[in-house]
Amino acid sequence: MRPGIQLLDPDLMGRILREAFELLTNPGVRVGSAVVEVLSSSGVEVHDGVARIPEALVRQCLESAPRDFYLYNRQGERVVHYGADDVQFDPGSCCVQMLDPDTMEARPSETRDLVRLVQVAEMLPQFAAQSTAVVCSDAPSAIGDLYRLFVVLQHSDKPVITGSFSAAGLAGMIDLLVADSGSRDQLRRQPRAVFDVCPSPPLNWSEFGSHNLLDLARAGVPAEIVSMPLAGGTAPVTLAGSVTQHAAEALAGITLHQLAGPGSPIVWGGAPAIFDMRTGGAPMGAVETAMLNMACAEVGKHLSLPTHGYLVATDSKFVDAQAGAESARSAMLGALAGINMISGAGMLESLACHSVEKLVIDAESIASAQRLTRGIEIRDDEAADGTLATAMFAQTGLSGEFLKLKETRALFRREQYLPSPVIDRSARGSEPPSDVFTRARARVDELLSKYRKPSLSENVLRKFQAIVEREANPACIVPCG
Amino acid sequence: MSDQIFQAMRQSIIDGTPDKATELAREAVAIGLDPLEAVNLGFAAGIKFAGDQFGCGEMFLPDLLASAEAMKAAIKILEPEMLKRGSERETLGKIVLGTARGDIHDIGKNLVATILSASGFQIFDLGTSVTPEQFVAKAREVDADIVGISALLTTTMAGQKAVIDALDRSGLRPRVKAIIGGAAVTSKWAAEIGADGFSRNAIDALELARNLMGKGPASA
Repeated sequence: MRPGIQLLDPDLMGRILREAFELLTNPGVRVGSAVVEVLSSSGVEVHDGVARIPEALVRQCLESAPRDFYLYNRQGERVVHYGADDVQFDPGSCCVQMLDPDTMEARPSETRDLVRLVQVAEMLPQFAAQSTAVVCSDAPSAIGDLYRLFVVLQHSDKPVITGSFSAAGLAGMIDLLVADSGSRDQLRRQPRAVFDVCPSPPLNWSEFGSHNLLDLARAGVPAEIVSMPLAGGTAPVTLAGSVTQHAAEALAGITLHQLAGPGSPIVWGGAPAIFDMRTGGAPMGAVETAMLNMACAEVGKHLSLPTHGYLVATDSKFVDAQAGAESARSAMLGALAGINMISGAGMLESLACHSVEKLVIDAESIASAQRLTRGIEIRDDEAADGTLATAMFAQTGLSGEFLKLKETRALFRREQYLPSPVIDRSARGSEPPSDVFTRARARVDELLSKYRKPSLSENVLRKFQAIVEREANPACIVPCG
Repeated sequence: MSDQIFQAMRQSIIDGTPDKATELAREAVAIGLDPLEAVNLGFAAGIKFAGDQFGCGEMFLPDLLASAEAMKAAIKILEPEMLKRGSERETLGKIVLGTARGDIHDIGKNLVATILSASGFQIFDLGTSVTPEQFVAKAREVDADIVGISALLTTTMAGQKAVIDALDRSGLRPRVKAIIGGAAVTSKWAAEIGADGFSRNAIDALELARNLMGKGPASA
């Protein structure tokens, strides 16, 4: 039995969806001009930038949206499954600050930080995918989005969770992925990346967001809706009300997307949070934020869609006990909720700051969460000879010598998650004990020393270079949104 | 040929396969290989490797125990052959082991016994809840080099001090060294009760015992 957790009973699920569909017609959804034509060809007129989308059309689009899809690594292997209750993690995205482990101060993130984050995440099996984790302040801002993907692709074979900052940026980023895959068809067949696309709460698919949805649908590159209602700020204060708003925004996005490219992969995702009534911020470590992510994903699962959430992050400014408590708690909850892709590991300060040291600590919490979701496994068909305990007792009697049993040696690695040295379980020795941050720094160094850069062909690297140079030319940048 | 068999012996210990180790030990006897060489260049190198791997977290207790069991299996075959040749394996030292009075937890003590024995120490295991008098009597009887007292509980740790005091009174110390171990034992406690050393696990205990015998770190 796979352990799970549910927050919504059938009655509440029904009410959330009924009201979400109602919101789509009244007050309707604000949309960008890019989608006016797509909507009108399906009989939906846009008045004053607002579309009223009937439930029947949404239902039709839900039918064409795939129930699941895979992301592939550079070797062409399926390494991420968006679907069912499969749970995978990737580092948080798009920070602008990096915690400097020497000074313990946050400073603008740079290319070297992104490279370190990618290299460390590449070495950790807990992360099935990479993310374009930080904005590089040392790169021209006009190509900030494209440049991140350029750096990640050079340093990783894993799939990437990414996103663009502009419509023009998206085209260049897809060009990079096409150059890597070999052709547009190959990229469509074996997608290597998912693009986050964000509506603006409440109920607004902006020009930029609308445009991205259409372009991704037409390119057949997976899109991930990241709806971000802030309960009490940009969404109803009740958790149920915010889940309803999230559902309406996501349903609208899926409709626009599937009308433009029926069958194109799309994820029911989000970064919902409560609105902090002291600071006006979005507390990512709050338990209610985790509950919103879980409930939103539950609605997506109810509609048989792949899901995503934003967890394993903290509001603390340091890699401290608060960071550990908040991140580990939400990793557990997200995994129990069966969210297909959980972004956010490594992030501090409510998603403003990244830390590679936190990333390796979060990897331990993630591994624990992954262990939890495997549940209590029955191994009576294996070494235990058809029993849970009696066959082993038949060998030991009352001697207690289980450590010597061949079953112990054969099974302990599967029964127990064996943590890295980041987790201290040792007895106190003659050396002074170290704290987790010190051990995390050592772990980062160890992983970096074992990291090997992927071998990309000269041809692909030349194409990458040409795309980046082309996009860096300001004349090519088309402002949007 | 010899290199190949030494390598296979080493591997049988690392893999923790007593059957394979037994088979290789028999083969060594059959082809007239010096049993001492078989131990030192083959099997013992495997134990050293397993210990190092355990020390850096790559191998775990069940692996280490399996390696020690494989070592025991090989020694069982080779020992009579060594006696026959009069080339008895050099004993690294004689160690009397037991848990402190009132403490019946012996997993840690047994691990230490297994690893030290597989590594060439002669072990006299007194079992659990051993009185200070029993420790002293055994140490005197076998002319022990080291006495090791294990205690899991903070309540039985005082028993470690009682043994060390008894060893002091008997006049056996400082020639006989006293070492302690157990989950709650710290270097501070070891210093406080005048122990000659403490270790956190069986592999540390091996290094500690070697150092106390002036043997230095094991070499592969």
